[in-house]
Amino acid sequence: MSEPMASRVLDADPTFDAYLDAIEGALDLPAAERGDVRDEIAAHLRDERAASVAAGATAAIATAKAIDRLGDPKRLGRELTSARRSRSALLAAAGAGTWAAGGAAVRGLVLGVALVTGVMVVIGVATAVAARVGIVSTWILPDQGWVTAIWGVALWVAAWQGARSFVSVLAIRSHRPAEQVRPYVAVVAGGVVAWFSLVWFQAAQNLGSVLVLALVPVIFVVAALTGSDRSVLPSRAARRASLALFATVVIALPLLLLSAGGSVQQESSAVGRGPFDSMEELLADRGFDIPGRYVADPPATGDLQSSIDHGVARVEIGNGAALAARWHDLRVEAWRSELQTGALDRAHPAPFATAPLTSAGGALAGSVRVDRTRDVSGYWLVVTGLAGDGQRDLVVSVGGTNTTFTGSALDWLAAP
Amino acid sequence: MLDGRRIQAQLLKGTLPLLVLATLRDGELHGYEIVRRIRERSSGAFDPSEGSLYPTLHRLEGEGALEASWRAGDGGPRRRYYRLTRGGLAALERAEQEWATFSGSVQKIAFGEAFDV
Repeated sequence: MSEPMASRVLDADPTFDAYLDAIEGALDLPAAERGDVRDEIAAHLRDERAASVAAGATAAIATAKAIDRLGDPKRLGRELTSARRSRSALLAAAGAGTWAAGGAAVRGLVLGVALVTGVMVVIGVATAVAARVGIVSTWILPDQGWVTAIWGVALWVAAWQGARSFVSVLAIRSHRPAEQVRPYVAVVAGGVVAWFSLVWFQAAQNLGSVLVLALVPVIFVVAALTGSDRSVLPSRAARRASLALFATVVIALPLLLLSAGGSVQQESSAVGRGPFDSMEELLADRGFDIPGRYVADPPATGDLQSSIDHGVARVEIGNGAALAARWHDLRVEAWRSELQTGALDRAHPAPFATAPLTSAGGALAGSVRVDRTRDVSGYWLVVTGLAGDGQRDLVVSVGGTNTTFTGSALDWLAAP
Repeated sequence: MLDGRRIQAQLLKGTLPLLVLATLRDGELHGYEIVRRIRERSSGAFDPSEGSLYPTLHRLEGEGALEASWRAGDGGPRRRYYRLTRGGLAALERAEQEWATFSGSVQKIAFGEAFDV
């Protein structure tokens, strides 16, 4: 409906200009709509004046009559504002704004992925050429931070585009200036985006991913607070460009994934498979004197089982009675270990998670969550208990593996 | 006391949407032409305030009874043309029936059975 403002009527009559300015000043509408209303009334004034002049009136009288017939400009501006608005239009605009924001976010996501993928392709090709001429030995992009970078840029572009689109469509469809809808989009939609980004979305987290997710609502709010009531619907050229970018992503991304390395899964070394002949030797070498006093004559634990499921590591000891006879306050402890060697991380001389062992039909069992502590990339489980002299002993060394913090960004921020 | 002008102004205000819809039944027009047609068809009896016309046009457009489009004038400024939508045509038919009932009732009361409808 709206046309470019370049076609705005600029009537030469200063009286008309002043009158039109007064109407426009009273219009509480988006800028493009104000321009349209001004053009419509300007055309009317010219027609009215021309008719009066044709009927014999002087230009001054014809101008005054035309203005008089339209009446008080402020009242007209207010009535036109009111006429263009309705509660149902506001609700429809909110729905349309949400839909447009979703579409813009998807386009932004594709754009963001394409942007970073394009950079990666350039780097990959340059590295491959360098490898070909012998400057470097490999052309594989080894850094898995690229994945975070791709999704980071994509989500930020999506948040920006979504917010801008939301403000634009809501303002235009509800016939309100951008200044009026910006705070609502920033607070309400920004709150929803923040909830999705920081609370709802559960995944493997690290500092990079949390920064990415934390910036999503910030970017959304900034974009919303600076959004305009101009149309941001993509042009045909923009839609074509999006398709081209999408094709690039579909072709380039799988190629990159093929060339990228897989995730690292490392089992910590165990006795018999590593360079150690005995558990005692391994524990001494890896620093497992930290948890407590090493027990030279460990009891027979019977059936010892450990497992991990959705970040919960569980230990079961079949011969619970043998342990309970010598120790009390038995508990399972998770210690940080180094991902590459499996050795205890001596920078943290305390377990990051503990839980009591409880008796179940003669056996002892306990579980600890090992995927909710920041910067823990590997863990080692031990069972400790208080001896009669009050010393906490390392009763059983169970084993460990690598782990990744899993949860929402807020969980990561609130985690110990 | 009842003032003739005031009564006409009040009646006109209430019936302006009906008059606009009826005027647009024959085809699309811009605002100034709508006023002129109403004036001509009523032989000057109805001369709607143009300050009321435009809010009425925009309200009817918002309600879906009218569609508007811009068109360049012949050497002049662009103009906004209004046309009836299918919903607007249905609204016009309803309004005409209601007006017939209403005006018939007024005539019955004011002038007696001679104007029975």
